[in-house]
Amino acid sequence: MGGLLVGAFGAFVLAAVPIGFALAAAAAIAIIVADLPLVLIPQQIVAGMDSFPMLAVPLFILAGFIMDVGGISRRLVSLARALVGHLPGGLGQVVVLAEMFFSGVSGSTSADAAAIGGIMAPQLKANGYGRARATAIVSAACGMGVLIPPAIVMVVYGVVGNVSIGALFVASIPAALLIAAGLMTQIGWQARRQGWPAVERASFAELRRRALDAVLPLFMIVVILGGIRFGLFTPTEAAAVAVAYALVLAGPLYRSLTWADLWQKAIQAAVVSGMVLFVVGAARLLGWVLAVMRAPQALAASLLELGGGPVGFLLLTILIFLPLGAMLEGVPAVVLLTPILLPLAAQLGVDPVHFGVVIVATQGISVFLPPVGVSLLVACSVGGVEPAAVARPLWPYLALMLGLTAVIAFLPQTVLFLPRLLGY
Amino acid sequence: MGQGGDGVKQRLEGLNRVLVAVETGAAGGLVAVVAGVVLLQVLMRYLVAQPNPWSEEVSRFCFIWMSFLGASLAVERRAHFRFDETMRRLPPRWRRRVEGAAWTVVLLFAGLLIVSGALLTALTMGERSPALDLPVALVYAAAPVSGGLMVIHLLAGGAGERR
Repeated sequence: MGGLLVGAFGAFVLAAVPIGFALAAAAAIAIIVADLPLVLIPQQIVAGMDSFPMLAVPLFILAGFIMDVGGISRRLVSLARALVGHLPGGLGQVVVLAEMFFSGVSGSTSADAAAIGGIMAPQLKANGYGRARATAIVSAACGMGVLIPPAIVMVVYGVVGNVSIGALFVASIPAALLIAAGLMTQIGWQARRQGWPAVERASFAELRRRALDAVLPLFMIVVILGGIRFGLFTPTEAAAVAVAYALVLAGPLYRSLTWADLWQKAIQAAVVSGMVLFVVGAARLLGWVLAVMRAPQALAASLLELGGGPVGFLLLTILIFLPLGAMLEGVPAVVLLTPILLPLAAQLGVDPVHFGVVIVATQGISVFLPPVGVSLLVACSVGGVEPAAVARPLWPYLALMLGLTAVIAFLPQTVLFLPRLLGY
Repeated sequence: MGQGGDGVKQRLEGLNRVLVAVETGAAGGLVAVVAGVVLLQVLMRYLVAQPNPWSEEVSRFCFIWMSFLGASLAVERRAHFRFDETMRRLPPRWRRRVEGAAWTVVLLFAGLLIVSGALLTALTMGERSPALDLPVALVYAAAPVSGGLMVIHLLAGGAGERR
């Protein structure tokens, strides 16, 4: 029965059935074969969606969309350019820093790849970077950016695993800084060896102007994290505050948002959230069926038999997530595996927040994994280049990110010190 | 197919256009309601120093409807996440067959969602929600409605015939 279920799901995924439907249809087959009541199907899907913390998903998506049409991504890129454009590999550094800024206002990796790639790819090309190199840098930066809060995957992991979303947000920041520093060092080193151009150092006056232009958008992340930490509001309420904040910035302040834009963005947010939440509900349904068949216990037992302790288990988790995240997108992989792997992690003494950061970091790499990572395909279509061509310049960046993720897995304190310091 | 078939197809497409317009308006409106109600919850706590008893339930119920309508709109727009790398490497003839089979799976599940969702809705008619005292069936009704919309979107678009 378990084999039938996994086999059906695998066959559906390979035959290009949308992931949510592949999950739900496989579960439905098992329910019909086992002669269980049909009402379980809608009941479990609704149960998967029905949680107040999950409401943060559409709200963070909407806030990011509003920030993007509001011309805010352009302000953030300009600030990044004034700050690091003169370093070796100048525009490459700008991409990484701009993505760190932009990720703080947006929640979705593919949206980042489209926004940052859309602005930076033409600038990189104009400065002598090849299309493949430009797309590789954008991809690596966005793979890191998933670690900058707020991120949809963190909200979903927090809800499914019952882990503090506020603590996850905070613990991801050191991980993001570590990987971003690694990428910027690597780009600088490549630039010196291969003689990539830098742009002229910005004057102090220009730097100040760019900083003033970007200070309000960047302050949003302070409002979100500060408000959650000091108990002013829950993560879901923080997401609604972020929507209001983005509206005030893009509307009355910058005057770059029309009512028609806003309505389109609301619809788009509903569709994207519908895609995410349908997968969440379907994964909950499949998880329920698997639990009835005691499959997680069997899998857990065999995973524990492998031994290797906490570190071995974390490395195994990374290895499981890489191909799954590339094929399924981050959210489905997280919803499907968290209920199985998190109890094991807890049993081995792995902190659930640390485990979440490792999973999110791995997921960021996996969605850009050549040749099929979903976000890599977005970046490639924005950059006008084939995934196969991007693979060669991209591999060294991904290898470094993977190495740093392993470091984070080995040394929990690299990320856990911050939430502990802040009293989570 | 003869004249009669074309007429049915045209009517189905017309119906689909109307439904998509209603569905889009409802989904966008629900996003606005969810954002507004959650924001109101924060404001009321600080301005009036009074927790709002109904806001969590209203926003959750609207959110579930928004998710189901978003999911069916994503079927109309063929936007759902999927892994189509194997399919794209097949020869064109096989690609069309696999594509048709994939959307048939979606169609069958959507049909199942109508039946099972209607059963669940009928079953929960008597249950009432704690804060608003609304029938819980109103929430569960989102499942069969979404399933029905998916079926119409797929049939009107010709499941698998696009692209």
